[in-house]
Amino acid sequence: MQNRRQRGWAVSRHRIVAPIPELNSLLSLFSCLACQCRRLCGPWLWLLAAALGGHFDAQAQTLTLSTAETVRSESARFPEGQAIQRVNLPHVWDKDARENSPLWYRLRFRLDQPPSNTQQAAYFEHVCSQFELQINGQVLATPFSAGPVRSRACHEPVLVPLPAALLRPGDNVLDVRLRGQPLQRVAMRSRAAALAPVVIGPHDTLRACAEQARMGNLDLSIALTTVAALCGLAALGMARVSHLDYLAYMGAAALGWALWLTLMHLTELPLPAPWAEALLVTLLPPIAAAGMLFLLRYCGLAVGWLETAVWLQCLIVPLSLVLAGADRLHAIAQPWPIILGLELVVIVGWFLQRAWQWSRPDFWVVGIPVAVFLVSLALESVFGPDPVLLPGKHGMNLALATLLAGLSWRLYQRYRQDLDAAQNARAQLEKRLQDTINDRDKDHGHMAEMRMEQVAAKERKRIAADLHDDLGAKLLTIVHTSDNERIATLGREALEEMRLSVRGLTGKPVQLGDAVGDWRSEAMMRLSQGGVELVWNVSDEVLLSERKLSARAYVQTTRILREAISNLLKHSKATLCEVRVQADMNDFEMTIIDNGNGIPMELDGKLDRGHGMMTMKSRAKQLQGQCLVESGPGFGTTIRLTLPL
Amino acid sequence: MKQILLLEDLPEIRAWLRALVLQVFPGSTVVEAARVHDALQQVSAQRFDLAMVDLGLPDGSGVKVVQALREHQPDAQSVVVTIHDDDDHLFPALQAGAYGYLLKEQPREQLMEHLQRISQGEPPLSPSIARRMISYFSAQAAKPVPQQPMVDTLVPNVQLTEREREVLLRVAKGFTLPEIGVQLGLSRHTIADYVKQIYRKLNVSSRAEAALEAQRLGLFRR
Repeated sequence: MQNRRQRGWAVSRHRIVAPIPELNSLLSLFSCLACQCRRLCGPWLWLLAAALGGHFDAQAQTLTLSTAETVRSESARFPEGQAIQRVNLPHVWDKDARENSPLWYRLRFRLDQPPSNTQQAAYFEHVCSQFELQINGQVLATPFSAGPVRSRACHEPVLVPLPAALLRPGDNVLDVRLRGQPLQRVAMRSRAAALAPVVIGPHDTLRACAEQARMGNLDLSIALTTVAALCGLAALGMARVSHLDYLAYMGAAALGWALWLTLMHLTELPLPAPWAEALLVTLLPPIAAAGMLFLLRYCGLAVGWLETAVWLQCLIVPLSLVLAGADRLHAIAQPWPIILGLELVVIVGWFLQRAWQWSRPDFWVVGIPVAVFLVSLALESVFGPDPVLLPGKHGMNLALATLLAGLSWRLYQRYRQDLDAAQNARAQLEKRLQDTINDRDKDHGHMAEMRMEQVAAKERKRIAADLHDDLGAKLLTIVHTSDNERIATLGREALEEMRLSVRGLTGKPVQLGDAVGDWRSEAMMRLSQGGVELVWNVSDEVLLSERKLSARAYVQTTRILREAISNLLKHSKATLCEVRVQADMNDFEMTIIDNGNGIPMELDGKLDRGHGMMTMKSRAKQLQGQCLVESGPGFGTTIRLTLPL
Repeated sequence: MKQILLLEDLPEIRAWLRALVLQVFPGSTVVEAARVHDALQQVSAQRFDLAMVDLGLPDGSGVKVVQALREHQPDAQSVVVTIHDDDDHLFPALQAGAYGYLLKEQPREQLMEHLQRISQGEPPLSPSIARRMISYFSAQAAKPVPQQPMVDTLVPNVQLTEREREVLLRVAKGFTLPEIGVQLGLSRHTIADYVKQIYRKLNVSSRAEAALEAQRLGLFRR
């Protein structure tokens, strides 16, 4: 059972698209294919296909009726015998604003051959707004309601199948009873009561045309209006998130436009006719205002007087309609959209010119939609169904979609820029933080070093004090209480050594000039006591030099000098001693020359332990320097001490 | 016939110093003290002509005694006797008013000679002490003169004369006093007089400075 039903469905569909080897059927097939592809291709592609397919008027079997006899009457049938007026179709009620009684149209046509097996139909491209059809005196089912005349959307073409039984070969009469609003009382021409030329022909062919017209006007409109509404909602959503007011205005304009188009396309507005028409006109200024404000705000401008004027317009327009009255509605309603359109054009032009100078990307964001609108306008006027009921509505929808795309891209661009800037700022901040931390660590390290130095210095001072107190006191006691001269001398020398050691521990670096002064004083004192002449040979360069000897180097040099003088005084019997001090970039050199007998080698071992030339050499080596001693009877003694600075 | 104060804590050294002093100044009375506390009591009890003061004592530094003597008995001469030969220890004592220093481990003869010289007004001057004095007097010269002296007593801003500065410089370079005399064309005694002057100025300047600092409520103490 189910299978058969399904099969039946398939069969009926099959019949529609069954290939028939006749030209008009081929054409109708083409048109039907075009209809089927509206779901697959985009609207434009479809429109092109429809344009190519649909305007192939199947002229062979269709009849276009362009004249009619008209009588205004309330009767249920075409009033015979009354004065008739011949009119040419398309005919619009624009004579008298108060004419709202129904108008009868009588169209005569001749069917030469007997009606073939194909179903005939009457195709009304545009009929507004309520009508009743009678063929050869017989009433056909029509959407005609009694009651007050309402404003209707007359965008849909109407296709009425003509039953073969009612048709006669030869002369036929088609009566149309039309009710509607005269032109003066409506907002737009397409809503006025009118009748377009009627086409009589095969049902299938005409249906193709009807479908095509419907697509072009209705379905496409619905699709694009939905797109525009969605764009408006998206813009409003973005405005809420990003707090950019121009997006809110754009969203309001797009939504308002979509709403207005929907109202336009509604078959019936639940309002009495004049109010509905007025509503349609009144809704336009706010939409235009939103659009203009969007452009202004996008520039970042707030021109007070312009905004006030634009909002004032929203009040003036309905006021003017009210003042005009129902009878002159069209006269007032017609210029207003043009005025609004011109205002919009001016603002768009001004914006584009400004954007060209200041911000090219924004120029493209608004310029491309404008171009899209213009191109689609051109395409519509060339390829669009006839009559063009609302010029540019498709183009407007597409332009709005393009505009939203452009704005989103721009927003994304700005977002990316801000993101990059934020990331850069963050990287810089992190770098600065790292630098501060590094400096802090360095300072810490520095301070830790200094603290360690301080602690070490304190330790050394403590050791020195201990040495002086304990060791020094005991040595002193030895010096002063021993009878043995040698022991006393040893004790004295031990004290001197202790002092030097302490000095080496705790002392600060000594300037060369100061060190030389100390050495000279001591050498002079001792040698003059021993009756030896001292020649002190130190250049001014050394005396004025700013180089410093470390405390250890100073102490060791002092020791070596003392030792040399002691040896000189004790053993060498010299009468002259020369001391030379030199210093260059890296080294310091002291030379002690005397003219004595030299230090005999055998005595060296017997000298007090810890002294002697071996000790001098090892001490110099400890400080990365060297001490050379040349000594011998007859030559005297030359001690050359070199230390690094 | 001198009244001599001897401050030293090690008994052997004290005995030895006593013998030394009696050799240099025979017939004088020697009062011994082993603590700063006792020495101060003695200073306030009787007059002295000479004081031999050790620096490192168990209950403080002998510098206090030197200061006390300078305050209460300006005519008394103090001599510092110490192991330390570095100027960090000696200079404060000299600033306080000591009139020379002796190093404990020097041989007896040298000590006697030095002591005699000191009593005759020729205090010794080592290069490092001289250097210290130079830097001290330079720092003093750089200080601004106080506009309104806050102390009742005069606050002199002592400066070295040119000659004195020359002498100090040469001592710092290591020249002995006879050599300096030869270089400057003066006798040894004149040079020694200069050294005496330098010491006095040091003492005066140091005391004044201390008074000023006390007046400054302890700010910027050295």
